[in-house]
Amino acid sequence: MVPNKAGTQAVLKEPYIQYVFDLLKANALRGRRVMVMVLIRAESETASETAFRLQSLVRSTDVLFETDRQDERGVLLPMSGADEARSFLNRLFRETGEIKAAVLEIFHPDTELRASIEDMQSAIDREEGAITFMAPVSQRPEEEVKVSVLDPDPLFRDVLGMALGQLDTPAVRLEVKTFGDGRSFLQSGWTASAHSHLVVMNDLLPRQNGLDVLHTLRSLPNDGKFTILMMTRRNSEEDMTYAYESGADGYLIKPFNLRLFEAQVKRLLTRLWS
Amino acid sequence: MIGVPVTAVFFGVMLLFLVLAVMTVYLFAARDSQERKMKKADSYLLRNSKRWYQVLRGIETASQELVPSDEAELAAVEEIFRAYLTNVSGDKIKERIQEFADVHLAPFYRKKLKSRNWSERMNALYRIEDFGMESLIGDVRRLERKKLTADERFQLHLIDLQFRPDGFMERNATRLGDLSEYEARQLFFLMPEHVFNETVAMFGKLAPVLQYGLIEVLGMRQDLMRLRFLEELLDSSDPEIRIRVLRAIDAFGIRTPDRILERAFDSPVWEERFLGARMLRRVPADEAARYASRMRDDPSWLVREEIRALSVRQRSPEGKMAVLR
Repeated sequence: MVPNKAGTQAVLKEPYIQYVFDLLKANALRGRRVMVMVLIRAESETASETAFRLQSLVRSTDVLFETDRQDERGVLLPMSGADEARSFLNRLFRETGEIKAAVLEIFHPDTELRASIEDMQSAIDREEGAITFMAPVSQRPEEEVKVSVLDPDPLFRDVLGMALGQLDTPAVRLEVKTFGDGRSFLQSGWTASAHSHLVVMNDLLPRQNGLDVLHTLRSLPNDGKFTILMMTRRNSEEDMTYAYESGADGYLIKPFNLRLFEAQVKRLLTRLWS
Repeated sequence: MIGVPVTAVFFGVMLLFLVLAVMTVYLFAARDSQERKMKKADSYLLRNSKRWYQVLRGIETASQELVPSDEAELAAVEEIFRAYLTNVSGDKIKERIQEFADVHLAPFYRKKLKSRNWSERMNALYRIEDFGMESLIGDVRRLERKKLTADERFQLHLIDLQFRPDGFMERNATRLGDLSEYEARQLFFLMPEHVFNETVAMFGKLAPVLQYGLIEVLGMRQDLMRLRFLEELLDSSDPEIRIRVLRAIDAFGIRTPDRILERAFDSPVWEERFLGARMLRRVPADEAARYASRMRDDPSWLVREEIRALSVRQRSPEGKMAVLR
């Protein structure tokens, strides 16, 4: 929150908004999150009236700013996407009369404040509708995610590898490797990088057991990069509880539907960009 | 002393060497043939495992190239199907395997069913069950008329259950008496629900081995709806049935009703009294103490020990908590 002397949300001007924008954008990108910029134009009321209305609606984490037009105000909604922006504008439209707005999701490092504001202003001028959702400046940057499949059955390892290889994962490039046992995986050096890492692992493995590998990965200092999906043939509640308590993110009981597997992997990968 | 001519010894040794040489050559040849077969199977897997993935997921249809041309390629296809059937479910994968096996693998297994080699026949029966090859049912039935081993007979029962579940027990009740208890349990676990219900309904007509297996399976399934049925079996004159019934009820993991406990403690069979004593661990402390005082002087040492262990458990704080729960 950027409070003013009255304790309400301050309306930032240049060059402060540029600094805050860059800071929030960097935070959002580092956390693989999305930020939204909303530009609101209310021709029927003064800029201070619009600002006053907005001040009563924004959260403490949102940032209000002014543009070069008197009848315009902007809002930065960190940790929010287009849906949250739509809800925010719905609340605003209930209270005000003739206003127009443009919404832009920010998830790419190349998105610039000044250029974005100009684009949004021309979209408001051009479009008839009250709310214009802007096309992103560029596609979400592709992220490399390492995937390790650990299963003692070589043919099934290949099946999972092929299923992952054909998975449609926007903005994520999967680098899949398969391993027949826990020790060769841990000794491969494949885990030693800062990339997000999805591990799909059977609980029973030769040489080093799956649950052992789970413990080892979770005891690493950067264990947060690992998303671990366990597979088992034993439908035992106790084993599942133990695996979840040890840090597994999901559990599949063999035999399982490959579509369920793909859906789980997609869901886990989506969480990277939450 | 019997004198053996030197030439006879010489020829004997030479014969032995000859046999040894023939066996060595045979072993090397067999190993070489096995290795060639494995290489061929590996090359098939390398060539086609990606295509099989597409076919089994319904992305493309099976081409002629996937049809195995010999035993080595058949082994590779079996491996692929095994990997899918044991690890993957749904999505019509089983149906696609069944369809392919019925059309393209059936000739191989038909030949194997006629083999004089027991292991070949057994393998064919296993695969017919695994891949659900309905087109070979006629050949399997013809096999029933031959003299078969117990393992083959059991496999035939499994196939019959898979393809003709309706009326399975009426057809086979008399023949199933030869099964081992383990096999009987396996059969009951694989039964569809309606066949299992029919089997329970005809409990009295079943051979003892099937009755014992069925009681065990009822206990493992922990279906409380069967408690009344099991309780009725406590009237049986066969002590083995009564013991197994008590064990099955214990496996339910519930607080055993008093009427069952009373019957167990009144039994002249020590195993029944022992199981009754074991069930006391799920009975509230005061009631358990009442039963325990009654059984403290039981003639069986094991029953007395179980009662003593129960008293010790109840005195410990965790034990009190457990019983109260």
